[in-house]
Amino acid sequence: MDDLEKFRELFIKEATTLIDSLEEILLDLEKDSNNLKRVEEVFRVMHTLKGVGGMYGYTGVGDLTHGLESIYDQVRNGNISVNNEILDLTFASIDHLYSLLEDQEVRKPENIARQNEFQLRISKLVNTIKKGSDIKRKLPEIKKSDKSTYNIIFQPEEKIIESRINVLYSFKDLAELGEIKAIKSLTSDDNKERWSLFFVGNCTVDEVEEAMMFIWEFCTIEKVADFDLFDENELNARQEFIKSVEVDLVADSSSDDEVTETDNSISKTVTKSTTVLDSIRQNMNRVSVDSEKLDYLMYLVSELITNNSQLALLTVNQSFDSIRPQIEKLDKLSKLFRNNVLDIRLIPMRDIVPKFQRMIRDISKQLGKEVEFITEGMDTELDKSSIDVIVEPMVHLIRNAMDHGIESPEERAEKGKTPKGVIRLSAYYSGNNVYVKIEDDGKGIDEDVIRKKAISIGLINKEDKLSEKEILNLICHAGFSTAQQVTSLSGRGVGMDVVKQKIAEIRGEFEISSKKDKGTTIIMKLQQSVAILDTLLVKSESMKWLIPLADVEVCSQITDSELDKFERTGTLEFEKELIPFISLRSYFHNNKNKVESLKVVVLRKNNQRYAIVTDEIVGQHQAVLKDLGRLMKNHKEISAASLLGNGEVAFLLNTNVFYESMAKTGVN
Amino acid sequence: MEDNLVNTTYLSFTIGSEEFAVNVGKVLEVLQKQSVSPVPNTPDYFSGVINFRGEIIPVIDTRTKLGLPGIILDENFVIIVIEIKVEHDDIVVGAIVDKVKDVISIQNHQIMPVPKMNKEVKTDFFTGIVRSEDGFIIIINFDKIIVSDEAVMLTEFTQASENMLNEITKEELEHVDES
Repeated sequence: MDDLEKFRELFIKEATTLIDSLEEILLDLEKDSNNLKRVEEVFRVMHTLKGVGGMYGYTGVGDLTHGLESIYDQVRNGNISVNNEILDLTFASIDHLYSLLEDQEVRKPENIARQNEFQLRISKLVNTIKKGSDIKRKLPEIKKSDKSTYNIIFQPEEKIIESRINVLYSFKDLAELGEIKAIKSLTSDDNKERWSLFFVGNCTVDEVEEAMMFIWEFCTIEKVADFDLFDENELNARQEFIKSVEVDLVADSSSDDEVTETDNSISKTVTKSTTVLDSIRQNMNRVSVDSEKLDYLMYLVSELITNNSQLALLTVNQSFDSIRPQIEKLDKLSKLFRNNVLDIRLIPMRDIVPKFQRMIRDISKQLGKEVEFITEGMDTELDKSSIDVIVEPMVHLIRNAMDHGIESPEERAEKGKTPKGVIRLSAYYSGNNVYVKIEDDGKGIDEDVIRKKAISIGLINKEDKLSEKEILNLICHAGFSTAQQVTSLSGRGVGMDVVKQKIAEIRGEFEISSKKDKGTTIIMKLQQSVAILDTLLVKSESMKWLIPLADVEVCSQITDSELDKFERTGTLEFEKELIPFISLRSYFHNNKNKVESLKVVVLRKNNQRYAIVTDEIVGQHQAVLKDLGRLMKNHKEISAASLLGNGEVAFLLNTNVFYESMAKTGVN
Repeated sequence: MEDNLVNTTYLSFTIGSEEFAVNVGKVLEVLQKQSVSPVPNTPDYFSGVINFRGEIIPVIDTRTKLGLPGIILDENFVIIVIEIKVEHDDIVVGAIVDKVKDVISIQNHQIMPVPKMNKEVKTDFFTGIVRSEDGFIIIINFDKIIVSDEAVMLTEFTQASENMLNEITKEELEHVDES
């Protein structure tokens, strides 16, 4: 039972991947309905889902995909071409398929209703196709008889059990194509199990292979006659001959050249469909791995790195000189190993694009707006965990752009814009960061409206002078975003605070810029890898702190008495400029043993300087960041921790908290 | 009542003059001479964090948490690493105690309900009490120690730092006004 559960889980995973891929394929088909390769792919996905779904008792999935499969089969055979009706039906069925994966036997009433509706739509479609195609259907290739006879030698291997293939399903598929006439076990010298099977049907070799697709690698499929060998009249005459074919095939199942030349009516065909081979080859270069395994690998690597720095610390002594080269080599290797694991965790942005395409397609139909979705730099890679986190904010942002940014075609025409709006999603690297940009050419954000709203809810005062950027940032304020306000604002309030929070979760930042009637641009600045960060290690009293190195501009020092003076105003003088600062000692009420000289770490964010005053700067530290766990995840100033070489724990300062508190002071 | 005859193994430890015990099944490890990194802006019973098998885990000062008198004088305190259940998650925490004493076997029927104690001592976390040769052993349920306080702890964190930020801002503003 447990095993069955496991397989079921595997099935769901596989099915989800397949359905996911379907979206992309369909979007392509929508652009170019004559793309036969794509049609073939849809057919294959449906076929696989049908087979495997039925195997695990997902009757709903089986029935639905069976119907769709037959439609795409007709398309494939050229009896009908892809039209909007078919595409809409398939798109709609994708969502239904997802819900069916959670409802194995179609028990939920809403699923039953939808299942019935789909069945109805499918059968209607199939019927109309049939009516149309019956007339033009021709019977190609087959001259003497409309039936052909095939011999299939099936040689199962242990692998077949490992890959959990239900052989019976393939034969069931085959039986639907025609008639299985004789199954016979063949004896042989090498103790391997072999079965010979004769099949008569009105179909092509490709179709037979299609039916056997799950086990085709264990099969040798041979067309033995262009007619029904098992026809009463033919039977006796042919019996002898068939036996000889069998014997020869068993003797050497790979080279059957001699056999085929004996009779003109027996045509040899290629046994391996090249399309199947191609798709398998494509999949061989990519391995899908459970992300838990990747997380564990990441954990092991971080342990290795921590241990390595401990080892380096313990062996500074000269007496270890003899093993120094080995220690250094270990260090180098673990760094390579780390980079490699970080690399494995990277996923191209492209993987999430189909989701957005689909979303844009649906929403634009809903809103009656025309939108062109352009993507750039989708090869840019991000850590898997970052991708998981940014999908939600991106959905928000794109939805906002569609809903509040892009105008209706009429409105656009009035403004002299093209009726079709553009949403551009681009990603690129810069330094150690990955930037993700979402642009639209809609109506932009009206600053006046935001300003008025902010004043009315008491966020700012009437006389406050805010820069353009500051005004735009107001929409990220938590109180600013309820549905009602958004409509009255016709702005982008929906969950902007959530967007900001999510991005901050992976230590990213984002920036909004907007021009009235020109559009809005949102840029997210993200770390490529969230698990490892270059930091500056500083000490304040007994505590060790980590400051992201990317934020640090310069370090300097001041005396204790100077600090006392500065602390009264909260700003210190640096390069003839007054910059706000926070002293770690006084901030954390940790001011026991005063020291004479203190260090100033000057940080820069958004072109604004601020400083953190600490006791000592220890040096750079490559921090393997650790989660603080449930009890402390809401700690404001500390966003993560890292182990130092000597086993001590250092905390990563959430510099944004300081920056924002100081920026706030500035505004007030 | 066969249940009463079942033996359960406990790890006994002392805090000051009191002896306590915790179900051995919950204990992952006992650590000695481990330095605890304090975390600012946390409640006072929260001693800090340690590195346990590569994970950062929180450490609770059991003495303060239970409201027992005295402070940790000895550097040689011991951390008992235990796994506790918070809602549906298993989380690992360290609990600071003075000394680990023994592994003892207690029959369920020997466990008596907890009597009313001094108001200062929080009895909610005690499962029961057992008579021993030199007095009593109190059995602690660490699950409850965290559950009862987790929500409070988190808000305390944010509250405390928020207040502090506000204070600083005010102070700064006042100074600016003065100057």
